[in-house]
Amino acid sequence: MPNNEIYPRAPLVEAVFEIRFPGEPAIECRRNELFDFVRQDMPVVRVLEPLAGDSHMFRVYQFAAADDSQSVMAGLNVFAYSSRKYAGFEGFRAKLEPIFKFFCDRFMVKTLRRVGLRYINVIPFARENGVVPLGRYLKSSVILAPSLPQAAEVCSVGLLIPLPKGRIATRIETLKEAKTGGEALLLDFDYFKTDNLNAESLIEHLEESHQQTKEFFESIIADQYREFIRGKPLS
Amino acid sequence: MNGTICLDEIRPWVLEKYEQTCRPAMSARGFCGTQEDDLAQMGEPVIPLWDLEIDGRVVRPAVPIAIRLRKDGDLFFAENDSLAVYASGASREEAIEDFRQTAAFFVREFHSLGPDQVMGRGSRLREQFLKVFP
Amino acid sequence: MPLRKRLVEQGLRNKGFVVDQGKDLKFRYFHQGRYTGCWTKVSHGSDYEIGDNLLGQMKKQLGLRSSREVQGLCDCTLSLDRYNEILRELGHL
Repeated sequence: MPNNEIYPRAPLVEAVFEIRFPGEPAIECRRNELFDFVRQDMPVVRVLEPLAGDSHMFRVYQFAAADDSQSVMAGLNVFAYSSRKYAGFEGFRAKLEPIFKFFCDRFMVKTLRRVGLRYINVIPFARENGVVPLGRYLKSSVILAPSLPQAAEVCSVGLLIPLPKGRIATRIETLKEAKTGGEALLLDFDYFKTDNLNAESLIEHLEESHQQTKEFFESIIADQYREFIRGKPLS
Repeated sequence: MNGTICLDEIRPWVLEKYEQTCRPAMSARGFCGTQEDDLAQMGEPVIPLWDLEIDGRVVRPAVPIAIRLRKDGDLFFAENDSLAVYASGASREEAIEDFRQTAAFFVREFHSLGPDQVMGRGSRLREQFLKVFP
Repeated sequence: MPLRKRLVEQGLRNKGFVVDQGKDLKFRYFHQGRYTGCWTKVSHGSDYEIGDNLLGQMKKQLGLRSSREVQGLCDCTLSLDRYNEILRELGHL
């Protein structure tokens, strides 16, 4: 049974809900209509140029809040809502639901190719004996072979895990901040589905994605770390 | 080695195999900032105090303890106001180790002092330490 | 004049701080025989200058309001009575 608890000290830095669909040129031509719908809350306009090698990507526009707390990103075949001040699923859903409804209705997006919900967590840590104390934060450990040390100085793991109704793409990686040398664990997971999708059932897809990602997070974090993010630690 | 591995270095292979479906939902940070910026924007990161070693025993706190880490000049500082433990070191690891040793010192001291042997801030700290490390 | 470790040691010993010898030298302040929760520490070994960053931390350890008060406590321009007054004002005594 998924735990619906909200953790006051959750290490979440961004939550993104995204849909991908067959290319719709109307989005390129009437992007201003989307902007008009969101501009009061998201007045900042940015354009992402595709990186070299990203030939599959089309130009994407971002409309963001002045403090970057939330934004929408729209391209020929993709639309996403991002929150960088996530205060619980209900609030997240309440914000994106009208925007996605507007988008799908206005640009006649009916068929979906992919629906994904991504949570990006950044967990500061301090090394112990020079290695990453993965086991303090996650129920994972580094076991390449029983005879090898079960510790790592640097970590970069990508996994694609099949689940009954979708898949989770996970990244666990060590990050380092250039100026202070501060380190953190990136725990980045994206639950997505590619089958039996349609825009009318978008919110059901979102809710299912939330259930799956919540279960995943609950399964993967260590109990001791859960205690830390659950309560109000002495500080 | 700077302590990180950039996934972009193996990205072409990953993308070729999994491109359309498995590329994750786009992040707003693609427009401004990087993952490392998340660290920088965190200000003073907070890490848990997992346990202390006291007289050869490993002791876990009864409530989670947050260690606030910061850099000031050439020194790193590890601090907790509720326990009035303020430690420092030439590296983050040294600062945290100093924190652990200082905290362990005060756990021993406050356990050895009765309520009539402390006053003011000392009384409050004694109560705090005995609650956290009974 | 920058504060030096030797001055800290001397000043705090003169003011009756109790010294604990361990990995470093800890100085704890007892008032009327009772521990106040105010303390600080210096490293063993040779003399060194205490920078502003460390002074800022010592201020928190000693329960004082400013680096200047830390300096005063150690170089004796701040009397013990005045230190006690400050601690009372701040609710530490």
